[in-house]
Amino acid sequence: MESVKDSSSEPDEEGSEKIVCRCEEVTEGEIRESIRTYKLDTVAEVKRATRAGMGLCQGRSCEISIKRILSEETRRDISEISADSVRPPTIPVETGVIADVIRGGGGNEED
Amino acid sequence: MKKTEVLIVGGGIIGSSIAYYLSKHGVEVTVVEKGKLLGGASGANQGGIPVSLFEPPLLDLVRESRKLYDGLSQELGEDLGFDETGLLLIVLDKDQESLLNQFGKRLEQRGLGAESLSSNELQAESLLADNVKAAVKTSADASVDPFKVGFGLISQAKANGATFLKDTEVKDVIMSGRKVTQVKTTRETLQLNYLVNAAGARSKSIGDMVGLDIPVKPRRGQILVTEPTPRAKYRYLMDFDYIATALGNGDKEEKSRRMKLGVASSLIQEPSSNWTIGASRDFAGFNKKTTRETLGYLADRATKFLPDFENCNIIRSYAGLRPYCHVDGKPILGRIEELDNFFIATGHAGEGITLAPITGKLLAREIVSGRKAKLLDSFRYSRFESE
Ligand SMILES: Cc1cc2nc3c(=O)[nH]c(=O)nc-3n(C[C@H](O)[C@H](O)[C@H](O)COP(=O)(O)OP(=O)(O)OC[C@H]3O[C@@H](n4cnc5c(N)ncnc54)[C@H](O)[C@@H]3O)c2cc1C
Repeated sequence: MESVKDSSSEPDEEGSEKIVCRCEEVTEGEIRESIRTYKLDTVAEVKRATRAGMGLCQGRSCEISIKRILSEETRRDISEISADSVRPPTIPVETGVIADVIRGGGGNEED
Repeated sequence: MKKTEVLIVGGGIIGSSIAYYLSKHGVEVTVVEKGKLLGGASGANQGGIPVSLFEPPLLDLVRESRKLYDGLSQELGEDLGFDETGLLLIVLDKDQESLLNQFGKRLEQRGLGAESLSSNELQAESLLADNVKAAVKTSADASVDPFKVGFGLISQAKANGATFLKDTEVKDVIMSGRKVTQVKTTRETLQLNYLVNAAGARSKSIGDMVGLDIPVKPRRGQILVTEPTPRAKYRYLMDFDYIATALGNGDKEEKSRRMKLGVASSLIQEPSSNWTIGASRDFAGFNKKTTRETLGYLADRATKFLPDFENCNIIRSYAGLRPYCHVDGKPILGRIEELDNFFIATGHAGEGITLAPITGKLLAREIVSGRKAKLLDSFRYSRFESE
């Protein structure tokens, strides 16, 4: 049986207090711990488990660091770790702009 | 061949909750998930815990689940982002005002707190549009961070010895008389004593493997996420139209395109202070894509209640598939009479986060004790057989 409770969040290695995701203030240590506890192997899972990459920039600045940590933890080459799927918009867009699709004359189904 | 006492199909919030409560009873359990844990509807929702919207007997179940949430952060040793914010039910249409007030009265009769905001109070609320004609504030409703709940349940279940197999799909079962004895997965075949179908929008396909026709299909919902904004006084707002679109009886309004797409605002400010703008309801098979038109209606409708959203940035959008019972919209829970060791926990529709704790607790109890839980009696599979 795994001892989840014992994998403490104490910094136990170099860099573990380093902030990886600035928007959501997630540290490298938290990401490594989640990867080990839940056996995560994709960027999407790390986002869900830690909120890293869920903030304003949507991982544009930290996704590469998350990939590096994943590749170290799961002992795979970084090229084997795929990017998270894109959840539009790719850059922040005002709510009003999204609403314009249906304002003034009926909307039409796209995507 | 590996053997497990209870095999749960589906690593969403429902499967995870059942695994947690079983592991608390010391039962050995294996969760088999075809994709990633919490990668289905349980990872694509708003984390609302609406209580005031329901009628008995579903209300009874919801209330019990809501009570379990009170102690869950402490029990799981994790801050679940539980926010006892209450709900602000809002209407734009003058002719819906009396309906809303009736609704508020009924809540009070049921012992659920509700009060109407006076027009002064409405005007003082600078976030709300001047067009908002009336509002009722309820007290029983809350919200939660659904990932924190899901991962909290998973990590405690694991600490209690539960096994979670991801990227592993259940393909078929082997029966011996009325008993399921083995489950074939894409990785290995597992022996089991009890099987639980918690496969969400796909739970029909697991039923098909044992000859049960489970009337569940996916009902798509789409959501927008804003950038963080200052903490609001009312953090859970609901369009009164939601009651028509989500809980049926939307017949006359179905005429508008928005209502056809099932768009009514449910607005929740998350612990991170981002807002989720939900939600829509339509049937599109297993298509999990967002559409520009539905997102457009979601955005437009939200700005009618909260005009400041107009210039607020959207950072993300996503869609999820609710497990929806197309006979009566209600969950399907408990032991199946036709078989000796098959349990079901699905059809939670737009209430799976709300109902996860009570579902886990009562399913675990039925499996462990062999006795039926009374609270589940209105939600059994047997209700479809008389039809
Ligand atoms: C847009 C939207 C907003 C929502 N908002 C709320 C809300 O505010 N409050 C609330 O309470 N609820 C809400 N819900 C509803 C809630 O998300 C669902 O009811 C709940 O997540 C259902 O959980 P589940 O575990 O049954 O399903 P899922 O999370 O979908 O899990 C089922 C799992 O089973 C797996 N599976 C399927 N077939 C197999 C197989 N053959 N082998 C192995 N695994 C399999 C799937 O991969 C999936 O991971 C919302 C839903 C949506 C879509």
